[in-house]
Amino acid sequence: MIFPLLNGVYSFARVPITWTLFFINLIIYLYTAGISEHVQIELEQVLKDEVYSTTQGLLFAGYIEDHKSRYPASLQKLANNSLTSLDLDHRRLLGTMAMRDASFLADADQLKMTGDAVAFSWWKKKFTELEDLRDSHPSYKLGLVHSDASLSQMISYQFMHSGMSHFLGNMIFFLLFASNLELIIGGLGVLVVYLLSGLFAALVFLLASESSAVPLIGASGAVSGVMAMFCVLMWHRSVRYIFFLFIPRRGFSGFIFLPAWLTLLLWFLSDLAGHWGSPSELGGVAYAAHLGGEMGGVLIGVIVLLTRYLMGQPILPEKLPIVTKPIFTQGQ
Amino acid sequence: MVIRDDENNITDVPEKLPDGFRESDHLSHQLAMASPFDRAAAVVIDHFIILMPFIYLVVAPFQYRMKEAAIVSDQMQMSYSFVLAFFAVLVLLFTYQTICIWLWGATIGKYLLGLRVKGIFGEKRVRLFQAFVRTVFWSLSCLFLGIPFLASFSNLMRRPLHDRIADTTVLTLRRERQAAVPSYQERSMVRGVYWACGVFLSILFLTALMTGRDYLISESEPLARLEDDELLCDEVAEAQMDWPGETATESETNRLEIAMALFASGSVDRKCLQYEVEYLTLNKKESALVYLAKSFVYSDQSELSEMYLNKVCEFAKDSHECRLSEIVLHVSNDDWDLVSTNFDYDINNAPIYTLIWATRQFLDRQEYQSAKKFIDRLPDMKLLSDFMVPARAKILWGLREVDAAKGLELAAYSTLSEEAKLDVSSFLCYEELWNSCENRESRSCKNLTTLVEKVDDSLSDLKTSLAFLRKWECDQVKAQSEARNLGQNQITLPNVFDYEPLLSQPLHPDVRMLVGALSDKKLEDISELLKDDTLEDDISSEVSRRMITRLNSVGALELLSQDWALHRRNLNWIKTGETLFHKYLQLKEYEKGLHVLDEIAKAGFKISQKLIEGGVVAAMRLKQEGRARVWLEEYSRHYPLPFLIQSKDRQPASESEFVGDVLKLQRGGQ
Repeated sequence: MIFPLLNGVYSFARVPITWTLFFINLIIYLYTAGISEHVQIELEQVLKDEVYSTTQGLLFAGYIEDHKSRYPASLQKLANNSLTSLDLDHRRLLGTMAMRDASFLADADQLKMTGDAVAFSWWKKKFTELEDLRDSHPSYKLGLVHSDASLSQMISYQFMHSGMSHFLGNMIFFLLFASNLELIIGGLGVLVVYLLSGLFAALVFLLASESSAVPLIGASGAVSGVMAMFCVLMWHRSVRYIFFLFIPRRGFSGFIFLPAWLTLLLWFLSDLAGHWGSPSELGGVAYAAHLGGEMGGVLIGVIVLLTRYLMGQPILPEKLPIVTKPIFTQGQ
Repeated sequence: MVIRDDENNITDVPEKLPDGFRESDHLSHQLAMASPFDRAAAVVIDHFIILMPFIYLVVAPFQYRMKEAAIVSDQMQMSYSFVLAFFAVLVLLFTYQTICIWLWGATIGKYLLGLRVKGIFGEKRVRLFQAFVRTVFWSLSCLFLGIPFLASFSNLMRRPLHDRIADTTVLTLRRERQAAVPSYQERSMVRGVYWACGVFLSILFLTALMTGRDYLISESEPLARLEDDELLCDEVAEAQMDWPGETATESETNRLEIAMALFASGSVDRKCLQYEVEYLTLNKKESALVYLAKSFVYSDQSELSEMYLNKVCEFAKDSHECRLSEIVLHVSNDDWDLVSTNFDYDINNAPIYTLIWATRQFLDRQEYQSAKKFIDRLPDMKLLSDFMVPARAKILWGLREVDAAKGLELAAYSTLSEEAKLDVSSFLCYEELWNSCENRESRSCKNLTTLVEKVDDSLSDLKTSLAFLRKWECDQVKAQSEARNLGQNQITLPNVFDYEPLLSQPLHPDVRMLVGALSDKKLEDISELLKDDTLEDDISSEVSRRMITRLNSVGALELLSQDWALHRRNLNWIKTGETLFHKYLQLKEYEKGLHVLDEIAKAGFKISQKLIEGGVVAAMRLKQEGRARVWLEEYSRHYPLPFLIQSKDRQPASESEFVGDVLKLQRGGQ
């Protein structure tokens, strides 16, 4: 296992903008966590309703049959199975997947069903309940939804998190890289990189996610951008990593200096693999947003490098406040 | 700092080990052998740091296919994608190791740790074929859970299998990290591991042999029916053959009616009925019966069930289904007068599922006359015997035809399933042990003991749990009586049992609560249970009985009596009344006892023999001979007078109070 440790996280006095962004994320998370949990429980109660989920599954199956070109072969097969057999599990699965399909949800009011009028009325009643619940869920209010993408949502989504592990995972990397970056480009620079990378990630997500009703939340796009920019600016220097090779003996764990771009490469390849390996209908991690953030960070980093080069300024301050080692030394 | 190969001071590798080479010569050994730990670390770097993102990339498209296949439960596609992903990773690893070792004598991990792969015969570099063979056997060693790698701790030159086959060795450029020849301890450890693996594999092999033998034997028997959610219930198809009154043209409707009847009788579960009705819905067959069936399927969701019931009459206002849906709504609103009225209107034309459902409803309310009305109209079918026999036995008992109930149990016992046997045995045993333990050794109670162990989850049923508790208490009474050499049918003293062992049994939650209160030995704990309105009638009356037997204060009994008078008149109410009456007699409160008896008589139920005997005794104690004669007349109408009394001879005083009082009455009348 290897993890970029850099120079650790600096104090608030040295990197105030980094810590401010962290606290904004924390406050928003703490404020929305309670509401999210409560609404989530109610949402799950509705989704657990057997009649609702199987009826929605049947309706979605019919919708897929009518709009075959929009859906992959696997979903078409599932839809056909639901309409012709008594497989209630597949209907329930389709019913759950329908909640992620923006076009189905948009056309839900016009849907009709024959065969069980009571089930259809029940579904309509529960669907309305679900829509109201969804609208009150912080992730839908502040997250980025494909059907309702505005500039404010493209910014607010960057400060929302779905759970403690999501929040911690993003903030650990953010504090590490942003605090070191702030020493190089200043607080305003970090703020600009954070927001612009997040915007970039949002745009790539909107392009890549097609018609998904699942909101995008999380700072990972912005954090990817911050990390990417740090790696671009430090492309010619080695930074400190901590490693552990799973052998409990001296010499198999400790610190090592490796190129900064290694982190970017490993991160980028993992995200690319994640994006290719995940069907969009199953939701989960928005790898496209990660990739967008990384590309945004790289772009901003390259612009900064070129600008400094063209203006004859050194890429990095002479007295670099963080400990690094050059990759290439004279004579080698 | 980059370490270059020409900086090392490794001497030439000899073609073979010198003659007479001894382990003790290890200090003069020329090879700077790599430590196994360094080699392991190199593997970790290569596969968990360097290659991991590339493995993810290579696996990604197959992972996509696997997830898509998982959506549609396509096991074949999932397995196929998994195998392809496995081979893709294998190709990646092969290529990486082979090329790196061929070109540079080291993978990236080895390079970083200063390790080099060298040919053992002094070649300048490892040949491509040599590198390939080495990689193949390295992979095979991985497949064998890495056990061949242990040779690094036992082989003199620390060369595992893949190195020995490829004629290579791994050396270190860092002299300070070189490994010595394996020590005795290391070689012993490896030997021990090999032995352990050998034994384990032998056991595994033998087990697989025996399992395979059993599997082959079972495969030669007729295959079990495959589970397939798309198949409708077999039970319904089988029942259709024997069902009375079916017509070929209405087979689907008939099938649904049968499914409803089997569901109402407990022969099939909710899922079966759900699939039967979903089949019709899938084929867009809307009807009153379909909506009625759905209301039963979703009976645990009251709002949805009500919607289905309301829809029934929209289809066919004057149909039987519509009337039944109204009855069900009245039941859920507890309007039992309307329930009875509606049932009476349609009872002659009611289908079988209605008769079964109605029987069940009235049985649950202990309205045995009404339940009898419906069960008498059911055809005698073997398919329904598991429902009908226990139901009839309960009805007969409830109508005080005790001998008939026991006779039915005896006659039909062998034809019932284990669950049905348990149902009837637990009911009868509990009723028999209600007031005393004298029937502890009855057939029902013996069957209960056997069946509780045979049937899965038997004690989760309330009646079975109560019967089990009561039987256990009676067994404790017997054991204590034998220990103290007392009479076996002595009334149980409260609080003399240790109820802790019962708490480990999987009892019904309400019974467990009762046992918990009993084990605390506090009357207040038991009385607290009575305040719980959600308790079922059976447990509530059981708690009342225990309170009554424990109380000795007339005032407290009076409160219980007032509460009892407000309850619905059913079998439990009578039983509680009987207990109350006997307690009043015990406390010599004869007027209060007679008041309870009068209430029971007013309710129109057949009064038990012991109760009337008590009534006579109580009246005589109050010197109300007129009242005593009324009760004696009632007694002689239902029960034969004992021979002693019938002869009207002057007999010596009898031990029985009742007999003595009757004699007094008779003498008074002469």
